[in-house]
Amino acid sequence: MKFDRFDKILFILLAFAVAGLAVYAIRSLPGKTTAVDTRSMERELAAQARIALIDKLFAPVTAAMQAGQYQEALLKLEEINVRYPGEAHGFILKGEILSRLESLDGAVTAFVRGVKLNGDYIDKRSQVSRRDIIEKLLEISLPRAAASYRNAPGNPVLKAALANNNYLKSRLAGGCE
Amino acid sequence: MNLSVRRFLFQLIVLIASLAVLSSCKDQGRKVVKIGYMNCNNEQETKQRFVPLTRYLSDRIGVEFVMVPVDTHDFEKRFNQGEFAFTHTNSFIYIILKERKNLKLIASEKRGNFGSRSGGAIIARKGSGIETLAQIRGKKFAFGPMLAPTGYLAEYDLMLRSGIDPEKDLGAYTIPSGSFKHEKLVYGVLFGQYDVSAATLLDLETMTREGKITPDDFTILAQTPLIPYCTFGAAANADPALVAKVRKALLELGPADTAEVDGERLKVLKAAWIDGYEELTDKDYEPVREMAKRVNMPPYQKF
Amino acid sequence: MRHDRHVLLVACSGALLGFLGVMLAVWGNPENSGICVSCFIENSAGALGLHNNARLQYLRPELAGFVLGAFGSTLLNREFRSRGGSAPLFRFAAGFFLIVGCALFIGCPIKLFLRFTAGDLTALAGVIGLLVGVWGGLKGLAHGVELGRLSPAAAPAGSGLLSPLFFLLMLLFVFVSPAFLIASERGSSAQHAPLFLSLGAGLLLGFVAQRSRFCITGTVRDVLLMGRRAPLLWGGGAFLVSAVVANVATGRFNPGFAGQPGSHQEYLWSFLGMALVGWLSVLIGGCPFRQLVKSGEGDTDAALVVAGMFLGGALVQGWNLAATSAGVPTGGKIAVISGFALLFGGSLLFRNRE
Repeated sequence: MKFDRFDKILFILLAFAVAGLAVYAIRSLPGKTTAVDTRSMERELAAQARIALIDKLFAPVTAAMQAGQYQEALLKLEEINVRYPGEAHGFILKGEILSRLESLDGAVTAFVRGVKLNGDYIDKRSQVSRRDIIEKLLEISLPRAAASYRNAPGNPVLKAALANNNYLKSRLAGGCE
Repeated sequence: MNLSVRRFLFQLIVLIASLAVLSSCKDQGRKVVKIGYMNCNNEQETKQRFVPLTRYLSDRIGVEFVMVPVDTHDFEKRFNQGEFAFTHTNSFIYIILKERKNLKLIASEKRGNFGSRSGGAIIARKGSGIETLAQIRGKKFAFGPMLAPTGYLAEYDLMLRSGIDPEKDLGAYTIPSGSFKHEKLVYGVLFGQYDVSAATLLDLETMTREGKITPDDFTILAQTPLIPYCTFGAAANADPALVAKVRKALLELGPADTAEVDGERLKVLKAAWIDGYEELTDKDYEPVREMAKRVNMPPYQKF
Repeated sequence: MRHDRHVLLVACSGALLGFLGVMLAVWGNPENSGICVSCFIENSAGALGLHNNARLQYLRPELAGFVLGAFGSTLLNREFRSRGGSAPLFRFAAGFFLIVGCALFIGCPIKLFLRFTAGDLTALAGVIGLLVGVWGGLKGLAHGVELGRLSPAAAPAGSGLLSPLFFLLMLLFVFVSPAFLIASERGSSAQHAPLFLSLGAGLLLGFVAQRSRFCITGTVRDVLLMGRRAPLLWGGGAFLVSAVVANVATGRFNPGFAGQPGSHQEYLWSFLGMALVGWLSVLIGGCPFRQLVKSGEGDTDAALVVAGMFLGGALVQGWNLAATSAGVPTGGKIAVISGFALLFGGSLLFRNRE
């Protein structure tokens, strides 16, 4: 292949471009730059801020739960839900309370709503993980829901209850979500 | 007017008349069945809540269901008179009718945090100095209506099991008069009319959600066990096929189902303030029976 | 002898794909997703900032491995050829809808069989869908639907290098981690096998898949055409056997319908999603994995499919089209129906009526 003058100019320009890339790539290497990676920091701060806010917001509920005053905790949750409807943490706390009050169907339904809104509550390593509580709940509620549906197949209420249990089981099992 | 025009007009009149007759025949062909609905707070509220549900049942089943609002204390009498074949009552009325008239259980209503179950609580105003159940001795107490399972029966039973005899150990007890008795119990404590009262968990939940009260103003001294609450039933001689259809229609009732009332399409569950229906067994009502026995209430009352 | 060697190579490719597909999950990738091209593309699109689902952002090294492994294989065997020019825009759109179809099933054809061999019986709907889709594609081909032949003349010399160069850049990003690259700290994207295992597996699989031409939808296609004589059948069989054995050996075989990881029970949409993938794959000459491998060989049309797949990966998350364990969103259903509309419309347009 014969290269003419224009080809040579292009090669030189290409060499400059590659050299420029190399220079900037080296400058951007971690340890060679003083620039702070603000993006990750912002995300981390936002996540921590959210956790701090929901801890503060739901503090009366968790205090009542710790004191064993579950009914008060539920009522307090109702009050907070008026201002923050659809907040996943509210559903998760409701699930926990109903689970302790042995209202299993209600607990499963609440956990399903919470997990659908925010999958962090089912992650193993998440700061807000409720994986253990959900696993323990399913150990009791899933066989019951399955047995009830087997005894009355086609009952839409029992079918929905079983579907909720299976959804939590599927989320606990993992997968790409 | 020539012959062909007259013939056409005659045929048109015959057609319109036939349609009118047929449409009225269609309505008259539908069987009419009455459902007695126990008034929870008052008749107007009961109608507002349950007319859409009644229309839904009519649309689904092809039977003309008619809603009959009934005061709680008249319910048994009017049921015995055969005024209605289907019932919508609380669980206490259900077991009374079950024991005395073999009422058939159709479906149980789901509402609130505990689904088809609910409970009662004994409450005092925060800061009143009453912090425990034992401290209600000698105090002024308010119960809900006597036939209310979670406004009277469960709390009375709770006190007996805790060693408190309401007839002897309370300073006095009363039952508010008029309508909206359940809300009066809560407001009565809040505004100092009573020291302590029985309150249903559902009312506490609903009033909190509606912003009428805040939980910070109350202390829950004790809570009763959870028992089934509102219940659909059918007379023993009701057509079993119709009972099965009603059960199916109730169990399949979902948030998107609507019915037309006075030209307006309404969401049935939303209008009724409920979350759906589920099928419980008569055995699930045993706790209500046990409470009635301990409290010496009908149908186990001994004189 | 040559045929036997080829069959052996195909079988080894299949066995490796099945084995590594399970082992990558054991080593840290999400459950039943040791290898899932669609999931990896969604994750990588998120890492590049193309969508903001904070739970699905990670630049999967396996993708770079597949392409660069294939590239390395072609260099070694002097097979690298820049070629292309066959309905490029349609292929780009097809790439988008390949991901849509996969997103509705929650997995590519490789993950389809990895799920199935782990006992996830909900994948059956997808298996049937894939079979029907491939059959439909073959019917289309038989009736003259073709996108045209690839031509070296239509792709200037060296243009086929763009895809390997792009993935080399991606690989550089994996090691250098520039500030704009996002890595989820929670969710399934926070689950990944160690870098060198992922990359190593990707390179190895890219290499052998390029040599053997092994592809899941290609296997189905060849079996439908040739029956037991299809060499790729050995690859498919080896894949299934090795995946089942690996799943059983690692305690990951849990047969059942309900409660499976990353699955839903809307069978119609699993069927339709995989049918779309199967049909499109036949038209464009390979499943998502094969498109990556071909882009490493210098096929610029496959590179466009890959570009379309990246757009698909971004939008299925950004527009909430992807199915989850909770079910299939309405947007996803509309998207897959749109995919079929493109497919049938495209088939009408590209049909050779002579």
